[in-house]
Amino acid sequence: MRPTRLLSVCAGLIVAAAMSTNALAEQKKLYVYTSMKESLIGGLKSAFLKKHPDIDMVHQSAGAGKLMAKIAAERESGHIMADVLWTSEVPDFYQLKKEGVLHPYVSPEFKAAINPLPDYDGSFTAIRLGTLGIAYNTRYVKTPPTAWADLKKPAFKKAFGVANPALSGTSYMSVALLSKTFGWGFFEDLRKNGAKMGKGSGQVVDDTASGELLASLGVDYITLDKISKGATLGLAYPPEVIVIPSPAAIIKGTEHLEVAKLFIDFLLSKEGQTIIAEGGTLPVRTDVEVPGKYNLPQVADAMKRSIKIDYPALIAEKEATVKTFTAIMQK
Amino acid sequence: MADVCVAGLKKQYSDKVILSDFDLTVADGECFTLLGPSGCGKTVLLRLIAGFETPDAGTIAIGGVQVADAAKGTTVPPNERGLGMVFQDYAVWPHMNVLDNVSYPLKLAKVAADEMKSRAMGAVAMVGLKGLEARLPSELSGGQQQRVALARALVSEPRLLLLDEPLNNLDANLREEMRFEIKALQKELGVTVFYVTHDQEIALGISDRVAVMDGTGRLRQIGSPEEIYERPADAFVFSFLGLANFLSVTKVGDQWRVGAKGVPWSGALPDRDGEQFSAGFRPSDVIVSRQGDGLAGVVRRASFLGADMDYLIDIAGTEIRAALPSFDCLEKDLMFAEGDSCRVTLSDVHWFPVADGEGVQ
Amino acid sequence: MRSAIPAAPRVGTAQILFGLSVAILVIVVAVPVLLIFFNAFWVNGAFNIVDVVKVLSQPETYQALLNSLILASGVTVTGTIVGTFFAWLVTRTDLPFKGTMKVLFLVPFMLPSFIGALAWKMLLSPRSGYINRMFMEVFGFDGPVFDIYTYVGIILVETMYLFPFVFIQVSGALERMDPTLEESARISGADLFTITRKITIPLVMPSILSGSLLIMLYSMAHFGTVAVLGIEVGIYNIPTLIYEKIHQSAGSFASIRTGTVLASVLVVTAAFILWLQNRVLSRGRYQIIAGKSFRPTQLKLRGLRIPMLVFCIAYIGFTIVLPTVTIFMVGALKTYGLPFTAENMTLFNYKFILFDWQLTRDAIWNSISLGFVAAAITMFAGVIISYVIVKMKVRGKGILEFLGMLPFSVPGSVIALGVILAWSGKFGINIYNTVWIILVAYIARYMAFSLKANSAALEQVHDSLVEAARASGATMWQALRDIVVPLVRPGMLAAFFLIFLPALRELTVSVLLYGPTTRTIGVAIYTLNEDGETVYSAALAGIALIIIVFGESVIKRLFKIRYK
Repeated sequence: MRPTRLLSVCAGLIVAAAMSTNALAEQKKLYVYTSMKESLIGGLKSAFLKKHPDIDMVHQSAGAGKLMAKIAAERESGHIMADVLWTSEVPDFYQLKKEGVLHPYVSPEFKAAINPLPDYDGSFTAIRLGTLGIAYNTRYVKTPPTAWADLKKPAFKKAFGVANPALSGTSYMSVALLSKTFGWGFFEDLRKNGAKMGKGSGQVVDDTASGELLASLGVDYITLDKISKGATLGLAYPPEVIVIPSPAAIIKGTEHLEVAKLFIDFLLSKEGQTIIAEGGTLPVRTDVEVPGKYNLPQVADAMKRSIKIDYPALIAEKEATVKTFTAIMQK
Repeated sequence: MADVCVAGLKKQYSDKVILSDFDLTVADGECFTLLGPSGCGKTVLLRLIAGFETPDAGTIAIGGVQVADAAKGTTVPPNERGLGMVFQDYAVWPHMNVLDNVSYPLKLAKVAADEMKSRAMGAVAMVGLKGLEARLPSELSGGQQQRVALARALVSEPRLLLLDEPLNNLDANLREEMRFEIKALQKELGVTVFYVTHDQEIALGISDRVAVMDGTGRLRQIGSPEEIYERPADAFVFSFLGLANFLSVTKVGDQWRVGAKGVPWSGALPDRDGEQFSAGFRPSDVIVSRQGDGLAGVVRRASFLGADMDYLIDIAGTEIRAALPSFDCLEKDLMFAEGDSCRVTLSDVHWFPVADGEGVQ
Repeated sequence: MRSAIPAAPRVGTAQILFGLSVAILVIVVAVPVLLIFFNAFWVNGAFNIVDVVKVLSQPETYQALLNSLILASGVTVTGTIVGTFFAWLVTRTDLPFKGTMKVLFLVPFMLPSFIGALAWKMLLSPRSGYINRMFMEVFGFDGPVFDIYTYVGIILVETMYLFPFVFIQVSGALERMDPTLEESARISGADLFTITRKITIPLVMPSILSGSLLIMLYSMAHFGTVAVLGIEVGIYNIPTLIYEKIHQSAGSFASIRTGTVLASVLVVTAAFILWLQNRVLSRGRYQIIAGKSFRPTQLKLRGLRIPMLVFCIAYIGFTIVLPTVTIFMVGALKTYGLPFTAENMTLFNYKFILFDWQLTRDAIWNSISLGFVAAAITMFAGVIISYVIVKMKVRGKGILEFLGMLPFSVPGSVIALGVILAWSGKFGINIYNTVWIILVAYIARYMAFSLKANSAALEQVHDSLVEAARASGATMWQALRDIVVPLVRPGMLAAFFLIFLPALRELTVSVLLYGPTTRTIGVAIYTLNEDGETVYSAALAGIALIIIVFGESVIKRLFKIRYK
């Protein structure tokens, strides 16, 4: 009987262990769905958990598109697992708010933050101001691009990448803003120069680091994190800076409302915002400095140079934008 | 010990009726053999008695206790019937050594450990396997495995021992030896034995009584081995118990004639009334001579088999076999060649009504 | 005709076992599959084939079907050629170190193909792949020598990991083939080439065909390689499109519907391939293949002996060693894209993944525990079901036999889609987002392995062994416990490991089912790669390889000692 009995005993133990961890975990759980990469959410999470050791936080990190699909599927099945949603795809939040899926909460920390979002009622609060520039591989690109139009040059032939706007919220926002500013002709020209549509916003930067692409539309902290690890990357900001707020929201009906509020408070706190700034992206608090080691623009400067966002138009045209872009890039 | 009483038994598989309206009684302490050709349903009967199958009609009782009653739908599972059983393929459990195999029934009966050991060892010794108790079945010969199976069947002193062609897979010498041993053990232990086989030699050699079953699942004759052999009830029984010759004998007017051509019959006359008979006889009952009285025949084939000469003789269009001791043939100038003509007389003839002889080889 | 159990009219052990078996198979396998067909063919409560055709003729779905067909056919052809050639080389020639070579050719079976795909992406991406870069930078090539993100690239990578299906079947057949068949042809004056063409190949054909159909079956339903190498450039096959539909279309009815239609196509195709394979095998097993091993006639390679050996070693080096080394090296880079120099290498990634990062630690624990529990449950359920199928005579066994066949023809993505339909709250039970849904899917997916191993073992256990126990006074359960279970234990253990090891590296099913805390190793590797965390992805893949190889060899050793 020995081997099989041993197996069954082990199996029993594992099932029991799995069930008991499930049961134990009921204490103070927090599920966060976010499009932030590990380099940003990881630090925030460990600081948050250090502050609240009784909380067990779980985060699902994926592109905004996937997270929205997941939430939609979960809504279908009757139970949204996420307590907090934090991505950069702002129209989604307006949509969710309209559908009554979000729980409004104005954090006491909010007064110290700037608010780039119109119609603010606490349903979702900007946590960071993500900037996008041109990430380029310094091994191959000796003269950094200075304007968006530089990407049409032969130097970037077949070697510029944009993340898929269906997958990535930042990519979607950037495409929308750039097309508003320069017209679709801009992307048509890029495509003529062999520009590609990649997968996620992390992957295009990684492909740039590896040399698969020479340049890509790069999210600030993702690019800067790789630079700090030694990647041969540079991040150049053309005069028209893309600044995209990444809001966080509490899902209505969450069983962990208090913990979710604590988390939002923490994200907006000086401590949380400092971690965000250290991670290589812009904080929303004016009392937090952007570290000098990055060539990030300061918040005020960035806001001034930023492409203005017409939110109602953005929401209305979301699907069309993705479709048009995809059509151009697959030509 | 127990008697077995089977009454009105019926068993069928989908449309195929194996047994129907079957009655049989085995007396307490008797060694009873069910003899029949393969596929006749004898194994099904054994499995019904064992409880591996349930009857579609009829009852089975062991030791006066009803173990299956189709009408009431009751059945006692095999493990509660107090049986010992030996299978054709021995069915010795390959993952247990000899002693574990033999002690398993005692273990199930919750016999105390030391008693279990001594009884199992006793059974092992009884079948002559002393010294081999720690061996695994794969380290034993076929005969030894058969002994293990026998010891295992007997160790719990069952009321009834069921044997399903247990000697089939053994070679000839071993088979003979085991046959005597089973008989000896049965005498010693006094257990009721129900033995199923298609081998008439074993059946005759081992049994107190033999039942002969035909291919359709009907019983043809029950009796002692001598009765069965000497006074076969019909041509089927006669032919099943050994090599048999048949000549068709018909009364034409006052005369008895043989075969289609109507050669006059000589020798003993039918012992009962009737016009048409099949005369059955064994090759050893054929007396052949060069000339003189008897039926005229022609030798078609002569084979020297050592102790015997085997002749195939054509009598009036029917071929019969004759076996003569070789030394007799040599002494009496009876070494026929193919094509020689001869005279045939019969020392012992069984008369069967013609309808019976049909369908027999 | 014989049965070990009295088929008593009352509810006995037999009925309980039968009911249990049917229940397991229905709940775990049949319901999900039926729901797929139901969702695919029923619209608003009515059978609707027009809609199915409409879905299938959408350019996206149509292209995916076509791609599955192109890729599967390509892999089948190349895999069959490669497998047959090497099988012939190690059985019928005087190639040196044949034994070792034979073992080495089976190694690709052990390696998860999506990890291989990952490695090949690193080696052969057009611009940054190490091989392409070497050619461009060192030899001054203008462009890449080979682009892995193409149909040919995908086919070649799949071939590397799937050719053993043919290799195993064919080398087995060649070894067992009666050499007198060839010798008699030889005596009749045929030369070796003619013999090979006229005698050997026709005789081995059933094995070749059966192996190539297995490749086809596997490739049709294969997710990993296409996901890693194809999605990027818009090459989708059926499983990757199902994945895309489920993950990116917000769970809308239309996308689920497309998924179910595609899944139905996959089930039907798989069933057809299996049916074909059965026919090939049952027709092809002439008397040619004797059970015993003969000494087959060997072709003298003469001058080609050493070049052939070099070729084999180069093949193994190129397809096994190179990708594996690449994975470990990239896993040790500080960030992807840096050259392999000492200052750029670190063990930090490995440490981070094993000890610090909850995501990867969860993934490793999830895969090991899921694999273990799924294997154990499936093993026991498999014994019970096989027992009923092989040994018992109960009314309605036909249903069970059919249900038992079902898992064989249901690909992973279909199972996953089916359990989503069945267990995400529509019928009262919602285990979506938990490990349990993956567990249920694993049980369904691997039931076939367990049934196969256990039925084979049970067929070796003669009825009379059980009957002997019953006659000795054992109840049904005691006979099962004391006789059947010990005798089928090797089969059960085989089933366990046949499930545990593949489950460790499973991707196709879990990628459709994972939730925030329920990533498996495969999902973690895949999503990290997708997120552009190439070095972490490689490091985790490296760790996975170590776990798999370690597990495999420990288990082989264990097996040898116990069941020699």
